[in-house]
Amino acid sequence: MEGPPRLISLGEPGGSDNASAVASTALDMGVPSIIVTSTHGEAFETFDHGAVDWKKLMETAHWMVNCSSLVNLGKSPAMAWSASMTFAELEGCRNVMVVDMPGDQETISKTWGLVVGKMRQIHVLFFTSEAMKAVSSLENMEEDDFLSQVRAKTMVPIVCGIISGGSAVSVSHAMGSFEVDITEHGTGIVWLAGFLKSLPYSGTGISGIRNASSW
Amino acid sequence: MSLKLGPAGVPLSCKGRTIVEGMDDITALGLEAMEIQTVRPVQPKHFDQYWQAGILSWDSGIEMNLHGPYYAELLGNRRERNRSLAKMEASMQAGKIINARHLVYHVGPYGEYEPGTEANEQVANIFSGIVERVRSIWGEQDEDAYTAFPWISEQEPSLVGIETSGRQELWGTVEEVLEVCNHVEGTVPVLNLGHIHARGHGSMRTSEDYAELFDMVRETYGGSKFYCHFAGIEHRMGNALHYTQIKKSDLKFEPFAEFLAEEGDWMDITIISDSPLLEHDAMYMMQHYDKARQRLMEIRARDERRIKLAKESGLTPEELELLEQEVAEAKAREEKEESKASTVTAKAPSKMMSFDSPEDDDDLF
Repeated sequence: MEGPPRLISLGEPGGSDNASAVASTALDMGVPSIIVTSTHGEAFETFDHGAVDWKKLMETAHWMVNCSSLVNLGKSPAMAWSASMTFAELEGCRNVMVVDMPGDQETISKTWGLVVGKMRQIHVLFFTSEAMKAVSSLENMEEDDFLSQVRAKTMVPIVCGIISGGSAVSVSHAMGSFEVDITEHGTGIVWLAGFLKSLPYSGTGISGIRNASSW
Repeated sequence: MSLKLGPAGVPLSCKGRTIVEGMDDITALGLEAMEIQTVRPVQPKHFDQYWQAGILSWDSGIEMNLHGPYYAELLGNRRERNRSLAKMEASMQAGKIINARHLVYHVGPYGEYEPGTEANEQVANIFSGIVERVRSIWGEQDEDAYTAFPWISEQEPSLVGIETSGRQELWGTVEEVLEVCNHVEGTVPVLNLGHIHARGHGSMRTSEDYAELFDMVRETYGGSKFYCHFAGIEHRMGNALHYTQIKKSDLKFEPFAEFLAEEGDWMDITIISDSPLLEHDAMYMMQHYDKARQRLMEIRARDERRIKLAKESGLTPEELELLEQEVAEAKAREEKEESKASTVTAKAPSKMMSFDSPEDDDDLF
């Protein structure tokens, strides 16, 4: 790949996870992106996460994308997941967290707990529709109001999630919230990739977020 | 003065992710406190880990504290209030097991209440119940429990901390928190300085601002024990927007360090870093506090030397200071004159060597 990376994600070698999906979609959209994963022949569960030079990778990057289900895949992915966010914070790269359902759905409570522990480092929090259902029920919150409640309490700048059976995304930020139709984009992950592509250049304030969300 | 610093959670640089591993790292970093985040409902399977942490804290002296659920609606309707209290219950149980010195809680939005006496009374009533419940949890044990939890017989139950809020629509100005803490025994104000700064439109700028705040707390609430949170914060129109690392915020730690070093002798204070860079910023605070203390000690040593010199020369310290000022002024005058003279002498040869000078024209080649 030519040029410096603008979007980094941590993902499985096969690229079947949501963080990798965001990165590969962004790449298709022309955003220089790379997926950090285990090297060829190395098991992802035990890969040498200490060998990843996060500082160098993040030198010119805007976004570090992670997904919550990755922490359940082994000790190494969990360590890399945590380290990537801390390095991003240190290097001025913004953290994006896709909250999705883990393979073992029973572990959503643990996974969500780990995400909450990292909340202060997250800039964009994105919920898949299944994860939003599960977490709102876990937190005893109404699903309708869930995103704005999470935003208000955690102070994550942008909290968004898939609603209306996948045809729209609700975006909650410091000055309010709005919904965007994403039918033309197909999936929430595609919308997120486009949103991340547009957000750094869409201007400041509410209008900036609105512009980026309807890319 | 006693100052304890620590992170709000397991250090980011910790190789393991358990509380006990986090405590080991905290000790290695020279920090002395930790706040566990029970932001999610506490589950019984976590209790073994909590107990191990409690034992380690008892043996090592690390101050353990516990933060309750991150979302509360204590001023909401009955259903909302009960839901919040149910989440809090687990953290109260965990507080005993982990030997928590403080249990920190938010109150949440004003709900249907207007800011004022009625809302404060309601909060006070709820927290009376919480304090009672904490005490009953600490009181519920048989003889065996004393061996498993030695702190139960020798320590006071956890104090219930009420945290100041960072947004206008949330209950928890400093005044509100102090009023409730004043009326409910067993509660303590938790001063989240980022929140206070945000809610005050960026009010915490100088060491005098901190002096004013802590004087107010001392006068209203009394005592010398303080529990604070500190992190960088982005804010707009009196509302906290986002936590940031301290270096990136307009809330600086230096004035707080200066205040603590100069006027904090009477204080027993715990500061928890809830910045995105948890222990890194806790260390940053420690370094700034040490620097402020060092600077103060240097100033004091200079003053002491002056007093000693004054005594030796039979002058009062004021007379000596005056004399020193006169000597310094005279020296400055002398240096100024000297530099003037050297400019003149420097200029003179330059004139002689100047190629513009008509006398030199002949010597050019």
